[in-house]
Amino acid sequence: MSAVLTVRLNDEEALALDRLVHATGKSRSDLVRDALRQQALRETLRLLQEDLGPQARAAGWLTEDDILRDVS
Amino acid sequence: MKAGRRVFFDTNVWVSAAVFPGLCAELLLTLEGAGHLLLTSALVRTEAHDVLRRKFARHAAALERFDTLWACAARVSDEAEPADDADARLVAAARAAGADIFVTGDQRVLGWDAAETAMRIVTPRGAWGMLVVAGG
Repeated sequence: MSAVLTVRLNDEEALALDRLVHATGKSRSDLVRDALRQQALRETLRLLQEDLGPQARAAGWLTEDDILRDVS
Repeated sequence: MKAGRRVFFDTNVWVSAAVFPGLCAELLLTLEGAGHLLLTSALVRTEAHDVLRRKFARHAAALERFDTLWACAARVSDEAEPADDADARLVAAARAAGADIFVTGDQRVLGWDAAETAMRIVTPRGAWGMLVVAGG
């Protein structure tokens, strides 16, 4: 399944995008998809960490090393 | 940087990334953004869900969000053997899928690494050094 999304950019944003197209050889669409995918991952991680981090500390996990040690 | 390294995260790396900001979360974001191929299997999801249910009283939203996160990786088939050792099954699944690197914090699994084999087994710090610092 695919969807078409129209995004309005100001002149500065459009210029920055075109500079990236030139520098990377990627298309505008590829660059926007890459950015959306990365942002979705960041937001998902942020939501998970905001939810689970305090619960983890309360349950005795203080750092990621505690998890790497305890979860096989 | 060489593109397209195939990287399999052990369950403990996924859970670490989901719970705390830090190396595991940064490794996930950086490798995904750099064009490496993240691999996973259904057993990883099952194990992660088990941990989240067992450890966190309020886990309903987290399970759904974990699945969203986990979906950034390409699914490979699980291995049936050895039936009594899930760690070994994950390593076998990664190897069968042609992974270049298996990332784990489990000391027992790290002990299975051998330099001469096609798939290295490394810590998150080791993976960062190989794939990000060294650009490989």
